[in-house]
Amino acid sequence: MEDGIESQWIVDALNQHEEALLRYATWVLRDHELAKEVVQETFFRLCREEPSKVSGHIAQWLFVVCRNLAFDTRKREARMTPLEDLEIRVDTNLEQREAVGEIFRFVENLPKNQREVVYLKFQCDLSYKEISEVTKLSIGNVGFLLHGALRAIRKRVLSESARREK
Amino acid sequence: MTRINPDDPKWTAYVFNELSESERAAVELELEASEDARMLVEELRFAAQLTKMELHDAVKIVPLTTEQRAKIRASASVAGRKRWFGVRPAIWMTGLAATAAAAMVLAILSNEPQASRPIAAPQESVAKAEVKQPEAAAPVPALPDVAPPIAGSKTKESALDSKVIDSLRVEPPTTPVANHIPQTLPVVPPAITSPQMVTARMYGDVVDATAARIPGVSVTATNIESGAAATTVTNPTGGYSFDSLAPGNYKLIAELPGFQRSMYDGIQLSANVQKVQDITLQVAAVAETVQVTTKSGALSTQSSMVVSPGRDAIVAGQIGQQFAAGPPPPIIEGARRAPGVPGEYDRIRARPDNAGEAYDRIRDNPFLPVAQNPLSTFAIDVDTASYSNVRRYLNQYQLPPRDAVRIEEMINYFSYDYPQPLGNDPVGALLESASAPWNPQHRLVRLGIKARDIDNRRRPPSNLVFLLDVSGSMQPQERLPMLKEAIRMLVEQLTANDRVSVVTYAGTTGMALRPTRGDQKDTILRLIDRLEAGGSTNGGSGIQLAYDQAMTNFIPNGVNRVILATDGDFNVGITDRNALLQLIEDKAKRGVFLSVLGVGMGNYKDATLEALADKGHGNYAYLDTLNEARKVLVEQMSGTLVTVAKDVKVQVEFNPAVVDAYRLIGYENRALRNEDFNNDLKDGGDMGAGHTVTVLYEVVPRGVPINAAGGPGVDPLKYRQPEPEAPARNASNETLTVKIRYKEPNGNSSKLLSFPMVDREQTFAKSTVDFRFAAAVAAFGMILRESPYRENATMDSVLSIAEDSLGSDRNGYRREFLQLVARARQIRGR
Repeated sequence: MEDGIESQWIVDALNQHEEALLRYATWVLRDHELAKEVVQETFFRLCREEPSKVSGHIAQWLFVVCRNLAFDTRKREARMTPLEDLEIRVDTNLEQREAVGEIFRFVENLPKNQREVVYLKFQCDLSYKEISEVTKLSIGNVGFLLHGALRAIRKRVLSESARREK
Repeated sequence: MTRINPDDPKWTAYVFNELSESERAAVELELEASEDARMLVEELRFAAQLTKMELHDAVKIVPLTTEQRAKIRASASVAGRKRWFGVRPAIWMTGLAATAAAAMVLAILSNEPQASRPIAAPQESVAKAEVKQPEAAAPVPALPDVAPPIAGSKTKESALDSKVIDSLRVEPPTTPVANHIPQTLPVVPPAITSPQMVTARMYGDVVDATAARIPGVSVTATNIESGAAATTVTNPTGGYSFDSLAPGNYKLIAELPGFQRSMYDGIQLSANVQKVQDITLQVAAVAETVQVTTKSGALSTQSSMVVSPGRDAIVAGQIGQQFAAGPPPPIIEGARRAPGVPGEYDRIRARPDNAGEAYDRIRDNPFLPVAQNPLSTFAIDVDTASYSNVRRYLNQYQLPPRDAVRIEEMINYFSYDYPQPLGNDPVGALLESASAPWNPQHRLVRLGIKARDIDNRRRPPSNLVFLLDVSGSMQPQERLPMLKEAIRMLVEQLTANDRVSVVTYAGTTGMALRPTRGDQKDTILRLIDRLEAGGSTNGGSGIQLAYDQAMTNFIPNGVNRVILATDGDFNVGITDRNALLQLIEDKAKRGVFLSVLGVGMGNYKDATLEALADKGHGNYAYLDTLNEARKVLVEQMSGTLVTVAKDVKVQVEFNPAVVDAYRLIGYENRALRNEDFNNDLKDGGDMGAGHTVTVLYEVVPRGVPINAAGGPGVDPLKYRQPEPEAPARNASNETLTVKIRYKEPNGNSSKLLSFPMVDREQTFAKSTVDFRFAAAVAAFGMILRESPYRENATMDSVLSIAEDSLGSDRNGYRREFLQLVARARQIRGR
């Protein structure tokens, strides 16, 4: 059943990556509806791809496509409804939620590159290599940015432990 | 002291497992050498965990809608069939066009015969959604545009879709509702207010005439216009809730065997509204309403039928006719009985849910003639799960399935006041005998085994690894949320010497809490609070990870234990049951024991869980209420956690000069071969600090018939003449001698204790409070099991004995037993 097999890998990819992609797109777009459209389109595009071309790196492929679509959309949306700041900012709704804590605010204030790496790692669970392919940063740089961010977070959160460490 | 460079990104790379083999080895060398390095890595790990959780929580997602997923799947199978869709332009910028195109594809697909549609196994959630649609030509209710719960979006993939469909599905024309354990349908998590919310919520309590809340009531909300019906079951406090109903005109039906069916009509639900609708049920005298769900999804009611003992056949016949069209109701219970020997109360007994409540079959131990069987050997059992499970059934106004009643576990549920062991032995025994209340000619011998108490403040340090099932089925209040409560209570008891870690598993496995000191309660509790059913991360093997954690943090001379909590969905990474048992056994040999906590109903696989705990030198408890959870985890914490004697086995030798025959009450699945008593390679049961184990033998004195009231006995042997009375060596007047073997928790060779007993001809009325109470519980168990040996035991006699033997009953457990007996009597109608 070639049909079954061929479409199955897409459904598998959908089941596996839907949540992470949505999270990522939602983070970029700050809009649930737009995020859903972007993710849906990402998978439509996956359907048109030759399986041999994406096999082995579906996650990267999906994130690259999703990322491009999301950023395109953001620009388009920004043109239509002028935003004060094209930079991603915490939207007020999110910030007021109690669940949003110190770490989130801290991450939101990181430089753009670092922020994205942190997101791809912690929200989307991508490996260094996958993050590198999505962001076009070197693997070494990804590791460096993550380590820096994590150490800073550690200091903030574990002030007690940080004190112990001379 | 080696200095480390904390700026090196390798530390973080190590945490994320991103290093090559050689880099990793180098880092591990440094870790071994440097306390600073270990601390750095530990803290980075902790920071990573917090970051992950917080970022995860911060950006809520809304899963793709059913429609969107369907379109992707349609597009996928088209892509697989032909690549003509490649001509599709980049229409995404105009979302409408994409929608139209995909909708068209969907339409083409849905005209195909069902069979040609590839439904492969891993498509689970989507495939499920399809299958759930009614096969009959029933009108498919329009799915309301449910705003998916933003906060609950951690659920794996879009499990939500199928749940929405589940909760709205038209009832298929199958099983009669009476005598059927209501299944817990997945409850749609409460929708968080969102601009697109166009559903309504309806909730309330179900109470009886005395305003007492009733759990386990099946509540069905039916949309009058569309016929769409959703069913749920009230929680332990009698509450129900439909969280996302399409607006419309509803009728609400509540039913539970033993009660009159109750209907509320004309309930108007509008969008974004929460409607409170409480329900009152009246006790049914003898009539039960049998309800048939028809194909159209509308409900119709058949006339009442009298269900009473003795009319089983007629009632069964009627039901058989009425449901001839549909698949037959599952008759698991019947299949387990010898043909032609229906149980008297089968019709009002709960059936093991066909969704998988599994009980090993139990055949009551028979009377054994002492001449041929002077020895009785078994492994002790301190489990108590059966009692909680029986209680759960009775609280739902159902008799438990016969094989769910394990008498020894019911007796051992209660604590008895046995003296501390003498001397240095960790266990001691107390023997007592009196006439059997159900057959005064027989003697009842009680063996009470007591393990030494350990003061909770002086208990050894504990290294506890919780292995928690967080799959979707754990969502209901009495599952994961209750477990979290119970763990909180346990954590409160821990000190700086203890370590707690948490591993979660669902489809996949995750480390929720790295080993953390017991006094860092905030950290632990914060993590526990965040656990949610349906969420988890990395793949792998849950039980393996849990054991790895336990081994890594092994506390020599301490308590090292994995505590598995599940509703029986046993997907911990090793599916082969034997491989799993082997793993557990191996780890137990290396000092890491396993305790199993069962929660919930329906998926509850009793037999498997008990076997796991047995192999892991642990105990097994079923937590049906928070109170029970507190009893197991906190009150008995030292007992739950500290094994003071392992592989405890009992062998009783009866004196043929005094005893003709005997019967061990309960312990059916714990029997050992006589020669295994002295074989240290054969496992026994384990006793925790303060545990008591109570064993009852019914003994037939010399010259008394085995079956006073026609119970099954063994005819005297015709050919083998009893040997001429061998002059008993000591002409002893002892009835029996109890031998107990145990090993120290870390020992490999057993020690032997021996306790002879002479019967003092005590009457039952003169026996101790504990003796009488244990006898009452045994009699209750035999009645529930419809044991052939119950003689003249009745619910009334059980009640009067138990009422009279409550003792101090500090925790009220014995009083609760009285209520259960009264309820069982009510259900049986006598």
